[in-house]
Amino acid sequence: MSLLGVLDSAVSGMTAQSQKLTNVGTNISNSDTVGYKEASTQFETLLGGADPGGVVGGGATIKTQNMITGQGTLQSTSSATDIAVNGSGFFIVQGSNGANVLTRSGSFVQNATGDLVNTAGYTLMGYSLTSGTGTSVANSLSGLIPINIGQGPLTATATTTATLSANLPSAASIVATASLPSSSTTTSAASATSYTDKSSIVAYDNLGAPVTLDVYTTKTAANTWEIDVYNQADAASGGGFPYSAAALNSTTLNFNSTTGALTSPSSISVAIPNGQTMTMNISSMTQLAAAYTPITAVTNGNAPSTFDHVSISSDGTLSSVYSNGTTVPSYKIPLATVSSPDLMTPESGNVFAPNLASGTVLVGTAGSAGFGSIDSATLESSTVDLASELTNMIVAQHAYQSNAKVFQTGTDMLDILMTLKQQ
Amino acid sequence: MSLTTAFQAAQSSMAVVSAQSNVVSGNIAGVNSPNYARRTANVTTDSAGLATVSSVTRATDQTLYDTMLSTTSASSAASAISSGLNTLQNTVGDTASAQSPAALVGTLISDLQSYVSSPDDMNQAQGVVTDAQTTATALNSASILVQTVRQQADTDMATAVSNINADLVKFQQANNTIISGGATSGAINDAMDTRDSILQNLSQYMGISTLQQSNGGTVIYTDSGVTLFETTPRTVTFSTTTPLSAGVTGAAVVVDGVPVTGSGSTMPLKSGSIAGLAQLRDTLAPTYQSQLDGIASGLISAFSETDPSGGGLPRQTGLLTWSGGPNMPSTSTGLAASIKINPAVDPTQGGSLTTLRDGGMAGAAYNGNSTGAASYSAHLQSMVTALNTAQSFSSSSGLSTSATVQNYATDSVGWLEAQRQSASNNSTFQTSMQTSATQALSNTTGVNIDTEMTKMLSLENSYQASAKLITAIDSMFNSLMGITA
Repeated sequence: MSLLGVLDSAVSGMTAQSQKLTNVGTNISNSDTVGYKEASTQFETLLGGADPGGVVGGGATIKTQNMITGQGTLQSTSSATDIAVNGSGFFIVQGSNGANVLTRSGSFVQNATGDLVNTAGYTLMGYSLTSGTGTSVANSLSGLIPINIGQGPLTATATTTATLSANLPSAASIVATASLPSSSTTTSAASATSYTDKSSIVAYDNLGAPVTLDVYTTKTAANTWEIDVYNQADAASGGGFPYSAAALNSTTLNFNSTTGALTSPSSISVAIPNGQTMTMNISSMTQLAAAYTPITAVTNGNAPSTFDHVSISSDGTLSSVYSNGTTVPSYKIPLATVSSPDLMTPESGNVFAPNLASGTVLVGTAGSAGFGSIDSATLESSTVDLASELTNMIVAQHAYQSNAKVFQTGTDMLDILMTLKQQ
Repeated sequence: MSLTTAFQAAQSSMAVVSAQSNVVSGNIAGVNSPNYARRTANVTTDSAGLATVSSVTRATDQTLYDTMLSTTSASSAASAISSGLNTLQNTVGDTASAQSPAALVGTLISDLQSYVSSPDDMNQAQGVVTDAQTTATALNSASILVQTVRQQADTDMATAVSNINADLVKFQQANNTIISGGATSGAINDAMDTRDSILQNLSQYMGISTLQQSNGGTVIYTDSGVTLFETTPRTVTFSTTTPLSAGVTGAAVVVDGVPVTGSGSTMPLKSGSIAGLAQLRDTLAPTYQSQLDGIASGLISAFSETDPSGGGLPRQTGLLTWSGGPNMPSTSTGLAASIKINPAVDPTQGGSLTTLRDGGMAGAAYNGNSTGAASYSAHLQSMVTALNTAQSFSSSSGLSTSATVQNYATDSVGWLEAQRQSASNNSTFQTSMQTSATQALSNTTGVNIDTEMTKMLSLENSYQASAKLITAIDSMFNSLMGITA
C-alpha cells in the first residue's frame, strides 16, 4: 500500500464520519418530530485489493439505516384526531401529488374542506362505512378515499330493528276475548278494551320523525298472551283506546308452562308509518310469577341531528357522534405494512414510500394479526434519544480527529520524501 | 430505556399529578353537594413506562342507589298519607274533645234523655235544639275539612305531575349528553350528577325503576312498569277536579296513556307521593267522609217523624234534616255536608220548640200531642229508642254495618286514630330507612375530606419526586454537553 493510499483511506474515513455527523444532526433536529424514525449510521469497509498476506489499503463508507420499525413512546394529547399506532403498521396518507404513502405521524387536524390533514400536509385515507363495510384491497393502496369529517348535512336514520323484553306476570287475570285490544275497533268505547300491561318505545320513520309505539301485552289464556303494537299518535285524546287506526301488529305469544320462556314467535314485524318495517326481537320475553318488569327496550335509528364530534376506536373505526348522542360509524382507518418496513424510502414529511426492496403493501385492520392498535388522542413521539445522539457525536468527532491525524502523518511523510530530493 | 424517554416519563408523571390534583380539588369542592359523587382519576402506564390519566370515573353503587330511590318513594308516599290524616285528626279531634262529632252526638243524646223526664221544660228543649245545631255544624265543617284535604291532595298531585314533566325534559338533556359522550369526560360525569339528582327528585313523586341501555342512556319506568322515559319523555297528564265533594272521584294520573292511580288502573303506582296522595284522596278521605255521612244519616233517621195515627203518611225528617228535606234521604252520600237543624223547631228561624216534644215539624198531621199536654213524652221516647237501636250503615265506611249512632261515631274516631297512628309509624319507619339508605350511599360514593387531603399530600410528594428526576436528567445532559465542549 502506497503512501497516497494512506491519504485516500484517511479522506474516506473523514467523509464517512462527517456523513455520520449529518445523520446525528438530522436525528437531533427531529428529536421532537411526531412519527420521526431515527436514522442510524452503519459503516462498511472499502478495500483497495485482495493481496493475501499483503497490506491491503482501504477506506470506509457508510449506509444510513432508517429504524422505521422502532416504536416511539406514545404521549397523550387532548385532540381526538391525534392518533398513533401502538404496534406495527402505518397510516395511509396522500400527498399533494396524489400518491399514497405510509406514515406514523398522526397529528391530524380538520382542514377547511373537512379532510383530516397532518402537520406535513398529508391527507389521511380510509374506507367509507356509510354504505356497508367498505371495500378494501388487501395488497394495494388503491380504493381509498380521503377521510372527511366536515359538517355534513343533518342525518336521520329510519328504525329497522328493535329489542323489547319484559317479564309478563304469570298470575295476571285473563282478559275476555271481547275486551282484547285485538277486538277493539276505532269506535269502541275506551272502557270496552282491557289490557294487562303497556310499554312504549320510540322508533324513527324515514325522515327521522320519532314515532312512539304503544306496546300492549294482554293475557288471553293460561300461558298465552297477545302483543299489540299501536302508533301512539292514533291514540284517543289523553292516550289509550280507542285508536283511530288498526294495530300495526297483533300477535299471539305462547309461553312454555314449565320454564316460562317464550316458545313462539321470536320476533314480530312492525311497519312503521312512513318508515321501514321494524323487526322487533321479543325472544327474551318471559312469563314468570313476578310483576311486569321491563328488561330491554332498544331501537336503532335516530332523529335528524347535527354533527357534534368524532370518536376513533382502537380498530380504526371513525364514528360521527351527533348532538343527540347517536354514534354512526362513518369511516374505517386502515393500517398498512410491508414485508421489510426498514427498507422503505423515507420522504420529507415523515412519510415512507414502499419500494421493490421493502416488498409489497399489505393493508389490514388495526388490531388484527400483524397490526397494532390505533390510539386516539395520542401521538407517537420521535424515536430519537438525545443522549445516544450526543455520545454518537462525540465518537464521530474523535474518529474524525483520528482520521485527520492519519492524513496529517501521511502528508508529513510525503513532505519528508519531497525534502530528500532537495538535499 | 433512554435518557430522552426518562425525560418524557418525568414529564408525563408531572402531567398526571396535575390532572389528579384537579380531580382531588373538584372532589373537595363538591364535598357539600348532596348529589356529587366522588371522582377518581385512573392512571395507566404504557409499554414505555409513561403514565397517563386514561379516564376519570365517578363512584357509583347501583344497588345502594336503587335502594335510596325506592326508600325515597316509599317515604314520600307514607309522609303524604300521614300528613293528610294528621290534618283530619287535628281538626276532628278525639272522643274526649268536645268538638268531635262523636262527643257532640253523645251530648245530644244525654240532653235528650234528660228532656224526656221533664217534657214540659222548654229550656231543656232549647238545650236539645242547640245541641242538635252544634252537631250539625260540626258534621258540616268536618265534611268540608275532608273535602279540603282531598282538594289539597288533588292540587299536590297536579303540582307533582307538572314537576315530573319538567324533570323529564331536564332528564332528556342530561341523558343525551351522557349518550353522546360529551366533549370531555368531565361533562359526562357532571351530566351523571344531574341525572342522579333528577332521578332522586322523580322518586319523591312516584316509585321508579331504571334500566341502563348499551349506549349509556337510561330508561325510566314507574314501579308498576309504565314507560316514563325512553329516548324521549312520555307525557304525564292529570287534571284537577273541583269541587271534590262526597261521592265525586278525582281524575287519575295518566302516564303514557296508562292510568296509574285510581280503581280503574291496571298498572297502579306502588309508592311515591302521588301514590300516597291518591290513596288519601281516593280511599282514606272518602272512607272517613262516608263515616261522617253515616253519622248524619243515622241522626236524621233516628229523629225522623212518622204518622202518629198509624196512617199511610210517609216518614219525614224531624229535628235534624238535610238539604232535600222534609223527605227522607235515599242515600247517605253527602249528608254530613248538608245536615242541618229543622227550621220548624228552631225559634230563631221562626219555628216552635214544642214540635220537638209533640212532633209535627213535617206538618200538623205528624203532631202526636194534638191536645198540647205538657207531660207528653211518647214522641221523645221513640226518638231515644231509635237512637239506642242499632241501625244499618253503608259497608263502604269500613266500620261495622250495624251499630247505634253513638257507637258508630265512636268507632269512626277510633278508625281515624288507628289509621293515623299506623300511617305515622309507617312514615317514621320509611323516613329512617331513607336516611340510612342515603347515608350508606353517601358513605360509598360521597367525598371524604380526610381521604382527599391525604391524596393531595401524596400527590405533592410525587410531584416533587418528578421534579427531582427532571433535575437529575438535566444534570446528566449537562455532563454530556461538557464532554462535547
